[in-house]
Amino acid sequence: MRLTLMLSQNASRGFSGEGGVLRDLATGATADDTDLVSALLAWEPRIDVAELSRQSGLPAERVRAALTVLGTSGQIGYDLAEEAHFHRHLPFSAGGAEARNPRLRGARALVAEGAVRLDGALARVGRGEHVHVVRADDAGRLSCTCLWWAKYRGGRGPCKHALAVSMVRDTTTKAAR
Amino acid sequence: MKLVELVEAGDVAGVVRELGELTPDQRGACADGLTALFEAIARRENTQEERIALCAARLGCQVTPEATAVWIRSHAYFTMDAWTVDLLNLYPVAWRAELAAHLGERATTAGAVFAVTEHLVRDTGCPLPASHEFVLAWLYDRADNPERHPRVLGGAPGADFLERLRADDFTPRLLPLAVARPGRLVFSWHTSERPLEALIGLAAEGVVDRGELIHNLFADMVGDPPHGAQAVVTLEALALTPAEHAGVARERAALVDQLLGRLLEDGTRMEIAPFLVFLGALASTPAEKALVVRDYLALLDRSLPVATYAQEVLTRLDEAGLLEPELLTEACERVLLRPEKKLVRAQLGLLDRVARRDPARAGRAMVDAAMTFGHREMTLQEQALKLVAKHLKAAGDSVLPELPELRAAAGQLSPGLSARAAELLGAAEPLGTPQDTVTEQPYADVLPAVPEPRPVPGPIATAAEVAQEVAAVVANDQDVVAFERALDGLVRHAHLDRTVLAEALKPVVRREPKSNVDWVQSDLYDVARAVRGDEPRGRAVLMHRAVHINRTTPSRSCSLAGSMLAARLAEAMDVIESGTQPFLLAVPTLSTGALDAAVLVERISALDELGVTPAPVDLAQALLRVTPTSDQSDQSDQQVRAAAEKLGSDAGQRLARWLREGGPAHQDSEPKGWPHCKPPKPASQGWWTPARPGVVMDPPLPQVAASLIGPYVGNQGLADPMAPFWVAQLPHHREELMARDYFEPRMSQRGWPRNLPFVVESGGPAGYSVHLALAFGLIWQTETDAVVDAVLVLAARQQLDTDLLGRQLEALLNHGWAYADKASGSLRTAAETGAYATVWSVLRVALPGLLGGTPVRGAAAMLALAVECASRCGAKGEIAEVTALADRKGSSQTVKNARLLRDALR
Repeated sequence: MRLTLMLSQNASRGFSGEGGVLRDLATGATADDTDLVSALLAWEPRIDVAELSRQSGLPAERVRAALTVLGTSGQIGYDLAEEAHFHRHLPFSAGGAEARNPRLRGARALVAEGAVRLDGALARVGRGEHVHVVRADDAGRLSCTCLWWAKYRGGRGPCKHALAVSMVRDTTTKAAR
Repeated sequence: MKLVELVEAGDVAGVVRELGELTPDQRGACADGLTALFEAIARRENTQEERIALCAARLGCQVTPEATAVWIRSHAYFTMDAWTVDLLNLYPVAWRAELAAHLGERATTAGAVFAVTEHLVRDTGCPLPASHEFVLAWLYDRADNPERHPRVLGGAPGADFLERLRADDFTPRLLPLAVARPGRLVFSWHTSERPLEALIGLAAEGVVDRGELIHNLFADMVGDPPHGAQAVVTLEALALTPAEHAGVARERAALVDQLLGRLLEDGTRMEIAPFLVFLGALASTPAEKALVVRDYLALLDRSLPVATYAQEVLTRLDEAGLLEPELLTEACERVLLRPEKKLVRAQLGLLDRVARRDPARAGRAMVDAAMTFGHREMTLQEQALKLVAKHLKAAGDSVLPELPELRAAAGQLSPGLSARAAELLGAAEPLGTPQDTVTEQPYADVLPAVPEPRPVPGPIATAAEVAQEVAAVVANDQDVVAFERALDGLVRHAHLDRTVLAEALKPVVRREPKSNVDWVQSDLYDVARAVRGDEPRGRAVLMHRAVHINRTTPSRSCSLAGSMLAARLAEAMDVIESGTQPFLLAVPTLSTGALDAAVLVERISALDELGVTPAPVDLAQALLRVTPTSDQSDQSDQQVRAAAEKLGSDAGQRLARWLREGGPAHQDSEPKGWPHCKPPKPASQGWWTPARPGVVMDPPLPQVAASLIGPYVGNQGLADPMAPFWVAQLPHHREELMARDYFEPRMSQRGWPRNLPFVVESGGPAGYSVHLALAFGLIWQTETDAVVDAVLVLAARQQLDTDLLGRQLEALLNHGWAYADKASGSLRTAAETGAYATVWSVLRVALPGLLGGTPVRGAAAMLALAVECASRCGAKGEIAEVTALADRKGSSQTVKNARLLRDALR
């Protein structure tokens, strides 16, 4: 018998995860990776990242990103005490949770509009009167001039502008490889 | 148009005649003109004849039966008159029958709908409408028996309602419909008791089958439960016989199930009251209640009215012998630790009766009662202990098997009662009571760790970062460190490259901060605008006036701290404009606002090298913040003072003198004569306004800065509450800070104690004003957590004067703030974190003055807390006032608790 006590920062926020996996959702895994990992999920009670990595031929970090995507779409769960994923199918449609996240949706829209302009450590995101400046510090952490960032300073995950910049940076580095 | 002229002449008969001569199309064509005429007539003075003629004309212009039905329904003031008969007679019988059918479908009791329909039915012989609305309207009509105009058909003869129904030829066709779905008639929202009265009356006479009526009524209730009040009225009027009651057992069970489910969801007293009365009216038998006993048990966890109801039900079940002992134990688990005394007392009463009735169950009942030993209310613990003692005595040896359990439970008792429990139950050898631990090692309070002030990070490196920091300050104006760094960042980067900074600030200035009356940190926004050269807002113009403020009269809305802030912001704009000073002096080095003297020496020396004279308000703020270096023996302090003496500029010499003198002298704010005289006027406040002597600075500081610790002229009520930056402006003079604006009429502002943790973490002596704020916070009981936190942190810093706080509490409670129960609530919260000794030292001072003559209201709660604190920290020493109170006759809670305290202190 194990009792897990989880505290949320604020009752109104519930267990939102505070945007902790948004970055992985935005940049981590491609649909192909996710499909591949999903197909390989054997009915072991415990999901082993190293084993999946060996079978799929993907690096461990991409497998983890794919598992995050599967987790948010209700295909698998994560056991905090065991520090491991486990099988648990929820009646979600795949990608449903992702599509409902306003920041992720906003970030994808910004990227699709081509509203992200990289400029060294800085990036200008948005169009016309809505441009915000996203800055990367020495450790690569992103910060922004928008209200979301000003209020929470990263305490509730990245803002849509920072997410959009991560997505664009990720694509350019992948393209450069 | 002839129709219009006839209407204006008020000729109703003429209108009807004219309508008869027009074809339907011609009549339809008149509708718009008549609507316009209606608008015109409604706006001017008009006669009744005109209005009736207009009504007739407009009705006549509705061409189809549907349109006519809609018109009649929507004109609630239209009445069925002789002219209406003439008008309706213009139409063929089939048309009129169709109108009757349309009206009957959705008849209402309002207006003339029913009267028109009845006339048409009787006139044309068309089928009688059968909708529920029509049946309802019919019953109302027969109940009210409105008079019919000549030539209008309808109504029924008879002196009273039932007589009319019996004489009515509609009754044979409409009454069965009413009986088939009685719920719709009885429980509709606009209903009165008449339909119910009629149905019951007719059932009594045998016209309606009573069994069928009851069955149908319950079926309707299950399908669509009515409001509780209606259900009660109905069930009372029905007065079911026992046989009938049993006959609808299934329906009642379904209703009870629904209602219990709703009560489990709980709600406010108002929300759940109807469900409670409904349940009561259904009058389930004990056997029926026993079937759903688990639901009643679950209700014991809900709000007070629900739990009280469930407790009553369970008590009656127990009396009927239908409550298993295990279920009684479970009920006790749910009830006995609830904070509501009424519930606990009632439950203990139940256990008492159980033990008396059946001695075999007494042991178990006493173990159940002993759960109360863990209750936080000492009076209830005592009551439970007395109950146990009584039955232990009555039972002799037979309760012995449960004795170890009782002994273990007694470990939870308040220390004031544990001696009595040990006498009764024997000492608990295996389980240590708190007293054992007290004798083994001396008691010591567990106080929170003293919070270390955080160091302020270095200056901001890039313009892009400055923009983000400014955005953060605009969004949240409570963070002092963020504000100070952002202000300095604006000055620094404007000096380095104003164009780059202006560009970086572009996204930030798009969003204005939320508006405020007093000056707040988010007004940094206007400095950002000034950097960009944007049009100044009205607020920025006012801000510049604050620099020249001369506080010789009370301010209308701005605090001293706010004015100082505005002066700094306005000055920063000037510094940016002139481009002289490359950074600010006043940026603190600690989150409390304190500024390290060595750092300030370096900053002034850097300005001296550049030949820059620092801006005066900035310098003044830096001086007010600089940490004193008055320790003569400390070597680094000596070095700092020596370095300051070497500074050549006026500012440098000013700092050197400041450090030499140790900054402005600390002022005591304890008012003269306190607390032995009555509070001075305005006495209604009930407190002694702090003394505010004020230091006159030599050489003078700018007026805004000097006012912070100088002579005080008061204010006329501030617009906004205190903010953390107030404290950070005077990090070594919190007493002076709290003595000034804080105790003006602003006190009522919600959330004001929120800043007390900042005050106790700040520096300087904590005297009368700081303790008065804490005493207020304890009594007020808003933001209790912040107040308790502040008291404990001040105690942990060994700066809490418990004597002073005790005297403050006594003075406030005796002079118009008679909330001793609230004060003991807050103090209990503090004590239970492990600060019993600290709280005891406050109470020891406060209590004597509160107990003389008539003890202050709420003294019992305060005494109960005192017993607990004194026992836990092993305090001894008689208090004469407590002994005197304990020696009084009587059994009031206050006297009882005083006796316990007297005994504990022996």
